[in-house]
Amino acid sequence: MRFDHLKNGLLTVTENVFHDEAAGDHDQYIVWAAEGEVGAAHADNKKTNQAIGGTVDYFTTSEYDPNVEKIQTVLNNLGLCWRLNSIQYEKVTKYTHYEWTWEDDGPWHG
Amino acid sequence: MARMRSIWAPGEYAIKLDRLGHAQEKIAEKATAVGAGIIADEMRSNLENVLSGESSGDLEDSMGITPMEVDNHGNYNRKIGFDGYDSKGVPNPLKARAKESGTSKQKKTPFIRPAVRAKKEEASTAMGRVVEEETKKIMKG
Repeated sequence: MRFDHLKNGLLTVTENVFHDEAAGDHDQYIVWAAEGEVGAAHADNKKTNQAIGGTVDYFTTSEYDPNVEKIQTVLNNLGLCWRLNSIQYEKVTKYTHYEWTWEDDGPWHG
Repeated sequence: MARMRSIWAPGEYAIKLDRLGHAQEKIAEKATAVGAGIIADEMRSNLENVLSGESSGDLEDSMGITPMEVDNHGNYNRKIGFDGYDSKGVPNPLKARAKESGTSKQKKTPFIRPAVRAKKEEASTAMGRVVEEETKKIMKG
């Protein structure tokens, strides 16, 4: 999976998609990030395969937001290995924060 | 004519196996302490890297490893976590969670997941080594 495929897939859910850090005020927005290598294969003193892990975070002020399901569909369609890691409610800001972790092998850049 | 004889005295091997069975929990205590220690050290190191220079140190101080527990499936577990409140009255587990997963006001700086990822294999190998060594001691003794 290429990183831009993940970004473009998430853009079908909302236009408020950010890499690493969000900007501006939005009622619904997504932040995606790559965290690092989670597995690799080596042969002939070379890295032949590299799996990378990362996260997708969705912040929403809506209860039972249908975008949650849409994000999971995007992750499925991209063929990522993923899990909904946590759902947290922020009392002060009233955001519900969904966090997915994902893993996949490259190539990462097209 | 065949004769059957009852043997009452257990053999040396059976005695050792019995000792091993009784020592199981103590061995698990040692192994899980070693494994959890490796992960906790990496977590602490990662945490120090993501904390700002103005950090009070409350979060690092609140980190600890629980005593071993046995779950419903008979697995031996230890948990690594954060306890109590910082000097401003904020729960330390909440602060750790905000660092790991981020919030709408705070960028995430994961330090737990990368630590587990980096040291899982080392911890698993080290725990296996402890079990092997302790088993050998009993079976040779």
